[in-house]
Amino acid sequence: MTNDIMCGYPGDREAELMAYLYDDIAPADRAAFEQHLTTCARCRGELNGLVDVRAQLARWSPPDLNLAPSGRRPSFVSEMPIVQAPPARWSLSRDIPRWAQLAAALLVVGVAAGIANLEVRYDRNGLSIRTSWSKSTSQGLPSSNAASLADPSSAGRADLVAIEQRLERLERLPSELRAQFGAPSAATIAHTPSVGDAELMRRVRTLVDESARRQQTELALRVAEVVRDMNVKREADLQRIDQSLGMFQNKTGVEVLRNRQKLDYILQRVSQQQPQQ
Amino acid sequence: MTWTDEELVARSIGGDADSFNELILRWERPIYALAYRTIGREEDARDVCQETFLRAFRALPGFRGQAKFSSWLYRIALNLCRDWIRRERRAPLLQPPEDGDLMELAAAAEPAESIEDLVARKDLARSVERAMALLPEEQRTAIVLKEFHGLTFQEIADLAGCPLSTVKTRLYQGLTVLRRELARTGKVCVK
Repeated sequence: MTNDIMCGYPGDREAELMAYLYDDIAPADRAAFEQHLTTCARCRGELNGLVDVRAQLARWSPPDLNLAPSGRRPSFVSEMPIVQAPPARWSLSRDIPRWAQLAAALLVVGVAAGIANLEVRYDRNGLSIRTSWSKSTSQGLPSSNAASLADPSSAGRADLVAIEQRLERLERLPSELRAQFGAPSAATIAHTPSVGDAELMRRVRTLVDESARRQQTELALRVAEVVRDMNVKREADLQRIDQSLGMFQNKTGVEVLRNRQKLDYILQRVSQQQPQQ
Repeated sequence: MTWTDEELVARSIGGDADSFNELILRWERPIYALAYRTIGREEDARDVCQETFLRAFRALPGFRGQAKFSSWLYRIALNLCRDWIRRERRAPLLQPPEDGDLMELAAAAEPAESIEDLVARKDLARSVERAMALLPEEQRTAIVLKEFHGLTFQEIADLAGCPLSTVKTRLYQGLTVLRRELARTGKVCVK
């Protein structure tokens, strides 16, 4: 045994051994201990043995906890009392009197109505509420418009006239553009077909070719995808078959083991009964 | 966004139950593993885990952040384990190996693992559990905290309330016993 060998380490040998084993050691101490290890067979042997023990310990895992899926509260937590949130510094509904709350609400409504330029009118047409900027915008309009706005009926008529003028102008626009940029005359239109037919045919053929090429590419891609999917499925199936086979082999092995145990037991019983007879 | 433990603690104290839930999801596995390896019983380890979080929850307003949240949680769990061991008035006893259905074992096997490998794996785990059960509580705790939770010697000393040198001695003694026991069952060799 290595314990019989004397160790001449000057410091606390066990502590240094542990510190070195778990790599929780100062660099200077590490160097000194490594130097010692080169000459001390006992420490070397013990260190190797403890490294083996650690390797065995690493393979010891506790049984599964069977946790709830991540993000869900474990069952026992639901039984816990929920921590009450500390009360806020002051609560609106509790600490402020009702009359003050009402006054504040009215003030807010008033300010909001002012900002929105709210106009409430009750006349023979009934109650009407309008939020508009008409008053302020009307100040910026030309005087003629402003005058027309004074009389609602004349204002509506003026708007209609303006819209009609715009529509007429839009209708005239294509002919104006043609006149400006020079549209093909009837003669040129009649002249071009003979040149254009060949060109047109060539273009159509090019388009058809391109389309055919695109379709072929797409088809090839589809075929490649199908082949790849089939391969993936085949591999998954093969893996499943392997697993099932492994499981079957394990189960068969267990059955064989059981039968052997039963046979051993029967043989033991028989051998015990024979001497009595 | 990932909150730090300390941020989650602060939010929990402020009344955000979801933050505490997040802390539980983050730490229940390590705490359960610590409890299981310390007391060696699955059901009791679950109870200890649950009780740890309940106590932490109740004591949360008093958590001032002097230590890391994890260290604080470990301390609660270890105290509960210690209480459990004292209450049981016996050395922690690991559950007897379940000579349960081998068919279930076979079903639990990894696809690439044969039944022989599976049996060997279970056998090794059982040997380690038995060897660990032989250790005094302080040594076992030191090994568990160092080996499985990666705490520094100083952190273990703070948790156990003992000098740093004592932690190293406990570790050395515990590992030496483990080595001897595992060698006896042929799991490690002694030169």
